[in-house]
Amino acid sequence: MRKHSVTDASRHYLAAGLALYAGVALAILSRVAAAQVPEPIAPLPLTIVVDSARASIGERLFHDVRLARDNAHSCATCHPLAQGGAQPRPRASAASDTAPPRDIPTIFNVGFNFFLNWDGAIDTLEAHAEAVLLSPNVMNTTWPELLAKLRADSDYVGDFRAAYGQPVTRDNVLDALASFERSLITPNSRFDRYLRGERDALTPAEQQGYQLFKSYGCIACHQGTNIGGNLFQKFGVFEAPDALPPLTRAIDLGRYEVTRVPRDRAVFRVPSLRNVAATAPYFHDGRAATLEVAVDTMARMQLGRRLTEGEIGFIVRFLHTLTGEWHGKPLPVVTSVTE
Amino acid sequence: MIREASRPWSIVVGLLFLLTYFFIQSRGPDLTLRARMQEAFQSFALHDAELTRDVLLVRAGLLPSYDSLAATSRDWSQDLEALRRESASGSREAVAALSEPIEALAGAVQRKQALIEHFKSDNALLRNSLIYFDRAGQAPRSRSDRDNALISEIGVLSRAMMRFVVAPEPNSNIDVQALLDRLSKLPLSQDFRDSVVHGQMVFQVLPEVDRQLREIIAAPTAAHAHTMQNAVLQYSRQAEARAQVFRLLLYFAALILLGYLVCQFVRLRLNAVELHRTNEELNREITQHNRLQEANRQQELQLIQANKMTALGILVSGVAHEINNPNQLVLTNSRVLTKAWEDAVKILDRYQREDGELTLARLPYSEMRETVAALIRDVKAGALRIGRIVDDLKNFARPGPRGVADAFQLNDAVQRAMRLLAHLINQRTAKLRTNLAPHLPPMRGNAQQVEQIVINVLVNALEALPDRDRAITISTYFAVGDGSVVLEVRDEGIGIAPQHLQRLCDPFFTTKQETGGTGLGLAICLSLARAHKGCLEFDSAPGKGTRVVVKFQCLDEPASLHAEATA
Repeated sequence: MRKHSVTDASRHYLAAGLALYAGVALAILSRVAAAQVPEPIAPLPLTIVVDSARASIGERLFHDVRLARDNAHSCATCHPLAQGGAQPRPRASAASDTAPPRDIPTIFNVGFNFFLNWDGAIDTLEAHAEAVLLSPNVMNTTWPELLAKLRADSDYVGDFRAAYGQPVTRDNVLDALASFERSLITPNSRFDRYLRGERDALTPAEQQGYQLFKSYGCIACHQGTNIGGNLFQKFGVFEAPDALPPLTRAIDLGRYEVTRVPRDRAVFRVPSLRNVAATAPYFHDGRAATLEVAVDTMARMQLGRRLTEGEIGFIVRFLHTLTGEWHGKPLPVVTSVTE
Repeated sequence: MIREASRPWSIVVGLLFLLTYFFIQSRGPDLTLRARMQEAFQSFALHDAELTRDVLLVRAGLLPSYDSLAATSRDWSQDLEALRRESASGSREAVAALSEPIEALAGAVQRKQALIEHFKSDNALLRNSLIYFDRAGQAPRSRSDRDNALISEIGVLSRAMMRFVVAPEPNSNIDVQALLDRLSKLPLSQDFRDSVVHGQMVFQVLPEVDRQLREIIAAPTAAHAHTMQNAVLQYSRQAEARAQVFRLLLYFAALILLGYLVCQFVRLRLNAVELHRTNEELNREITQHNRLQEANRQQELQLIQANKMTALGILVSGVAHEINNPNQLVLTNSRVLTKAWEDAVKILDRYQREDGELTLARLPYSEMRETVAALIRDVKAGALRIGRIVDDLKNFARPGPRGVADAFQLNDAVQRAMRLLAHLINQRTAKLRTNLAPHLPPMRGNAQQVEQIVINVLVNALEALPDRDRAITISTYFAVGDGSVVLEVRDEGIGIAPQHLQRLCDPFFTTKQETGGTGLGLAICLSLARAHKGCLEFDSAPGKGTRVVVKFQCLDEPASLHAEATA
């Protein structure tokens, strides 16, 4: 292309043509790539195999307030399963002591996340459960204390004996909790049905939303089975995030707190978008109460784009199709966010 | 004693401890370390390669999502954990030898994973900006004249970006950089400004992504894994060599133990044999000792008896001599008195006839005439009897003439005795049976004395018979067992009371006081038999009969005969 010699008069048109050509070429490149690979989002499996006896112990533990030192709150306090698996409030104390309070991520489909917490400090459910139990900011218990409480309960002793052939131990408690959490999947969302071939599971508007989602680059980060949860990204690539004066406590350095690498400042885990309509508010600091705000923020800060209201509407409609079913019913959509 | 007994035990126990120690050392956990780690290494290398492959696929846009990359990375971390666990499970030496390489490996893994995370983030940005160009090229939104001038600029930019994406060479970098700088200073519409921003993003991120990609590919995890593997190999070789040494030691210790046990066993066998031999010897000694003791006791008894007999003999011969002298006087006198009375009777008869009845010792003569004669006869008979007793006593005390040791046949002595006693035999029994063995070996001694023994025994037997229907059996035979000739007299008489059996040969013991027994017959027999190196045995059932056995040493031992005779 460089060897073409062009006159100044024809330059504009040629340039325009070339721009078109280059754009088409890039488009062809990406199309060719897209044609060779399957959809970047995979549906959730309809069922998941977990040890039901262990998961059922885990379910009781999950709702047991004795897991907290003050016997006042359980895992379900922050992750109410009836409310999308995450309390609809912007911030709560996290397991990691260093971080400022952060939004509570949903517990649903947590087994498909490769990194846990907003900073990815933890990458297994067992380690996360232990961190939460022992954190002075959350459950604030100790193993001797907790195990003594559980061992005093003959039901637990019997059930653990039956499920593990062992008494109540640290490892078994963590395994039971993790087993239950792995069982918390929300399959059969309308989008998953669409992915499985039910073309009319999505309305044309929703399908258009999905196309926008892909063509506007959201898909660059939100992909995989959990539509996120498998990589980190800086919060505020093209624009710095707006300061939130009333809520500012300390600057959240995100993954930097874990890695201490300069380029990880303000880097956070890309969250899963599954059940996103049921898990408001949004972002690590819960700054966005609605999906429209969240989509607009993401487009500006992360994608370097300004979307029209219509485009945002399409994408939000698409995001609503990601709400899956738990116990056969779709998760309820969050209508109000409380501080 | 206890100390001596416990010593072999302590040696054996010590050797067993040693064996156990060597066994443990030769089969330590380090020996299986290599095998266990091999699997972890394979899995590690596989996931490492998968990770690099997935990164390349992501870069090429051929991987739909980061899920597989994240999953592989997690598996890879688990491989590392497995390696870490395994290398910490060995002995202290193994842990020390492997801790440095495993930490180096973990560092490399962590660096590569961090690179991959950064690569993922940057790649997402790159893809987003590339998608923007795609969209921008497809649908330019602004068509105003004012912008027409810019369209060509954007076209140039697109072309430059295209070139840059396909071949991000250093010299094209400068062109793109200059272009972006110039465009960013122009007052552009939002769309064009976004294009420039994304162009700048691509321009910044693309070389960074490629740099990360190169770094990921060049990450020295494989080299570190190789180093680690070598360390494991080297360590396990050392462990193997060490185990080999301990196996050898184990073998030698086992040999020593075996040798010691064999040695102890042999010693035990030898001791047992020795003990057995000693025991036999001891038994023999005890038997001999008992026999000697018995012989001693017998000799002692014999000596006592001999002494007693000698004393008795001396006493008896003295007494006999003292008795004999006055008895001879009585005997001589009685003979004189007999003749004197015969003469006196004639005178007294005449005197009676002439003077009538006269008295002697205040008794009428007619009565006394026969009575005195009888009295004198009685005196004479009494004196004769005394003389006989004295002779017997002399015989008992000093048996027979000395130094006579003729060879003769026992049967001859028996037959002589039977002839002498023919009258008495005939008187006492109608059933005499003789069973004399022919061809008896000759015996040596005094034939008359032996004859006397036979007579005494035979008389006793005959006297024991209550009537003539009872039988007497006389036998002689040769006893092969002790090489003696034997006389056996068996009667069917009244028998001997058991309490008397022991005392039969005591001098002056008699049950026939009334019939004139002196109690010396069997005592003399025993004395004579001993003089012939013989002995007497009695066997009796009261009311049924008695068996008397007299044994004589036949021939051969004239010396002892002489000795006994002399004593």
